[in-house]
Formats: sequence, structure tokens, C-alpha cells
Amino acid sequence: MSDLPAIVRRLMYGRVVGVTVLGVGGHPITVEAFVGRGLPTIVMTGLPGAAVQDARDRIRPAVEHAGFEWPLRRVVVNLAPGNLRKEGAGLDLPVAVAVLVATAQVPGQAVEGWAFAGELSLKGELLPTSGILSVAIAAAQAGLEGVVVPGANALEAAQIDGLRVVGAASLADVAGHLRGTWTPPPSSPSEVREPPSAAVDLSDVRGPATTC
Amino acid sequence: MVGSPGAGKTMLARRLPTILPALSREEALEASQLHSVAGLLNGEGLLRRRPFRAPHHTVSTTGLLGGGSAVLRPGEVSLATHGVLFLDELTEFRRDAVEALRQPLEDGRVVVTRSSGSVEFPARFMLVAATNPWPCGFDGDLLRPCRCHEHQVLRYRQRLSGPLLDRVDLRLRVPRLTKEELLGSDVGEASTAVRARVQEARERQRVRYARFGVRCNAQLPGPLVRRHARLESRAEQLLGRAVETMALTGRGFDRTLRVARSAADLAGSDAVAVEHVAEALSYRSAFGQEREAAGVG
Repeated sequence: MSDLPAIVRRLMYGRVVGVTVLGVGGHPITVEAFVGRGLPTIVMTGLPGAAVQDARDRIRPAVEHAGFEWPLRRVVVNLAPGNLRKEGAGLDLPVAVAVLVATAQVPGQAVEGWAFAGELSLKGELLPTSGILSVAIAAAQAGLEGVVVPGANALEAAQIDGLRVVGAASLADVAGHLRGTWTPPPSSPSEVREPPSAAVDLSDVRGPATTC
Repeated sequence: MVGSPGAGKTMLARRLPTILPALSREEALEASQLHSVAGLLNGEGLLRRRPFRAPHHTVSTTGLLGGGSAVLRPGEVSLATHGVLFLDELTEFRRDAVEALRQPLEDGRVVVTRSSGSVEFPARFMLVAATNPWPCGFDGDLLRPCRCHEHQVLRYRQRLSGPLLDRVDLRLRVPRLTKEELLGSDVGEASTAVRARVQEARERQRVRYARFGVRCNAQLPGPLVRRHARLESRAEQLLGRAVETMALTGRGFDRTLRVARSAADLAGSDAVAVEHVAEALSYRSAFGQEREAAGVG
């Protein structure tokens, strides 16, 4: 690296896998972040839907609340494949992590093979997010090792065999997990059990029903 | 179900999921996925009970079938997948919403197309609908005679969609309970006992249809129904007569066969006997004839 010109050494790039849910199906999305020269701003390319556009303003406060530095430079986030519409707030987390990877605040190799999904609050908490079961199914089909999801949704993701699940309460926890300073609580799949006892029962029914 | 207000239509419908077989893992996954996408899983891992959805009659077509402007969400038909969709006061629902039920009822899925794209949601549910017999609500009841005018009744009945009714296999009349029934201490059969019989019948169907990739009579395509019904000769004669006297359509014929096949499965019989066909036909009798039968109007 040292023999490269200074301008190349400053290139900051991160890549993370997220999942967008269209209908009921999850589609893996490559989330790239590039931090380069320019006025402090965040630009998003790759057909982001309205909820994904909102992430631009949510992510900076979330990153700062998690105790990290937000780069005072121009941040470009690209969502690939570019011909697929991206929906849902579940892409907040992969975008935030991609920026953390790009700025070398979490190690890039730690995110490889994992998918990230979850909505962030301005305080950096991971909020319950819809469609996490679809995210987990898509991640398993894509042959990924595991998923990082909001703790409130960890149980749904844990239903998928052969997929490791990290349920985190905040962006700080996720970053701690990637840096090896935080261990997630174990989440195990629950069995499909018979309901204990239904509140209603056919024995309450009196008299015969007749045909028309 | 047709019956007076308070006769117990809603109560019966609520108990239907309790006699259905437990969700298989694939069914639970599919139903949970739909609930997850709609944000209705509430931190649970998987749904354990069959869903029971009872949308209010003011529901929009979008609410019923799915859709929405920014994000395409599953509708009530999809949330009821592998469970029961209950439409109380069927005549009060918007006509276009009820008509739109036809595609999911036939295909077990619904395709929602908007400017933002097109998505497909599974929608394999059991439809249960309830209505009052007449606008005043009262049945051919001697104590509370119906005071509706003929044209009022006609208008009320016209709100029921013929094509939708053609897809209803079991038409029940739910009468008001008698004094003896209300005061008596008879306890009906428990859900667990009925469910065991249903499970047994479903198991027969599962084994019979294993090579076609369907699980129960309801999912079997028409040509296969006709091939696998195994009608006894007297049963065939009765069905033949019914095609003429009841003006059964092709779809009505297949549907009657499926119900007869199910009745035979519940009775543990390999062949469909004449009583099974008779039972299926009795469930199919046209809605609207009981007014004359009751001698009112």
C-alpha cells in the first residue's frame, strides 16, 4: 500500500449483504458504501424505495449514538442489483454496517457470509422489523452462514435450519459482535407445538345445524 | 351459514379452526412468513394455531386481497392462509371486494399488480360466510314473522354473488335454539374428538394423493377428482339425476364430488356410497328456497 499514491490510499469502501422483501419473498442485496472527498452528505443509488431513502437521515444519528464516528465526507451507498426495487426499513442495518466497514470501524472480513436486516432508531436501537422470516429463508437459500437481526425478531429467524442467528438490541451490539467484544444471547428454534388449550371449544355448541 | 342474529353463526365459525388438523411445519412456515411480512408475528417464532381472520364488512378490496401504495402488503385472504377467513354479514361487504375473492378461491394465490410492480401472495384459506336470511334478520320463525317486502328481500338476495355462492360447498341453516336446547345440560362433542376424526380422514387423503403432490380433496384438480372418487353405482345414479334436477354446473359437479369424497373419508369408507353423495347434495341445495319452505311471504 505504501507505494501507492496518497489519493488511492484514502479510498474507503465497505460491502455488506442485506435482504429486501418484495411481496413475501426475500432477495439478497449487496450494499456497498464508499466514503470519498466532497461535502458531508449521503447519497443512495440502486432503486431505493421510499422507506429505504429514509435511511439516509436515520443512519448518521444511529451511528453516532452507537459510539462511532460519522465520516464528514461524501458517502455513496449503492444497492445492487440495480434493476431490483428495494423496499423496507430492514436495509437500515446493512447500510450502517457498510459505512462502518468503509471507515474501518469494524473489520470487513467479519461481515463476510452474513446477511444483515433491521430498522434503526435515531438512538441506534434495532427496532422490530417485518419480514425477518423471509429474510432468513432468503439468506439460507443464498447459502449464507447466518443473519444478524433485531433481537425482537430473532425467534422467527431461528426457525430456519442450518442458519446461525444473531439477535441484537442495537447497532452498538452488532458492531461489538463484529469486533468480537460482544457475545449474542443464544436463540434456539421453537417447536411447532399443539396449542396448550384453545379458548373456544366445539363442546359449547348446542343443537343441530341443518342444511338449507 | 344462514340464520337469525344471535343463532350462533359467529360462534360456530370461531370453533372451526379447533377441529382442523394441527399445522404442518411447511404450512406453519408459510403462514408465519405472511404474518412476518405484515408485521403481525409479534415476536413469536412460528404460528402454532391456524389463523382465523374476521375482517369487518367495511374492508376495502385492497385490505382483503393485499396491495397498498408504497409497500405491497398481504391482505386478509393471505393472512388467513392455512386457516379460516370468516366474512360475517356477507351481504354488507362491498360487492367488488367479494367478487375479487374468486381468484384466490380458485387458485390458492393472489397476484397484486401496482405501478410499483407485481407480487404474488399465497392465499389458500377456507372461506366461511354468514348472513341473515332476510333484511329484518328473522328466519321463518312463528314467533317473529318476517315483515320484509318481497322487493326488499330480492334486493338483499341480489347482493349475494351467484358466482361466489357457486363456490360454497357447504350451505348451512343455523336455526334459533329451542327452550330445551338452551336450558338443557347436554355438552356437545369436544373439539379434540372431532379433530381426531378429521385428522384420520386427512391422513387417508394424504396417502391416496401422495403421488399428485396434493394433500386433501379440496386441492385435487377436477379430472383427478372424477377418476379417484370411486362412486358406487347407486351413488352415480343419484349424482346423475342431481345434475339434471339441480342444474349442477361442471364446477358444481366436481365440488359435490369432493364433498362426497370427504364424507366417505370421514366415514372411513373406500368407496363413495349413495349416502355420501346425498349428504354432499344436501349441503349444496340452493340458498333462497327456505323462505317458500317456511311458508312465509
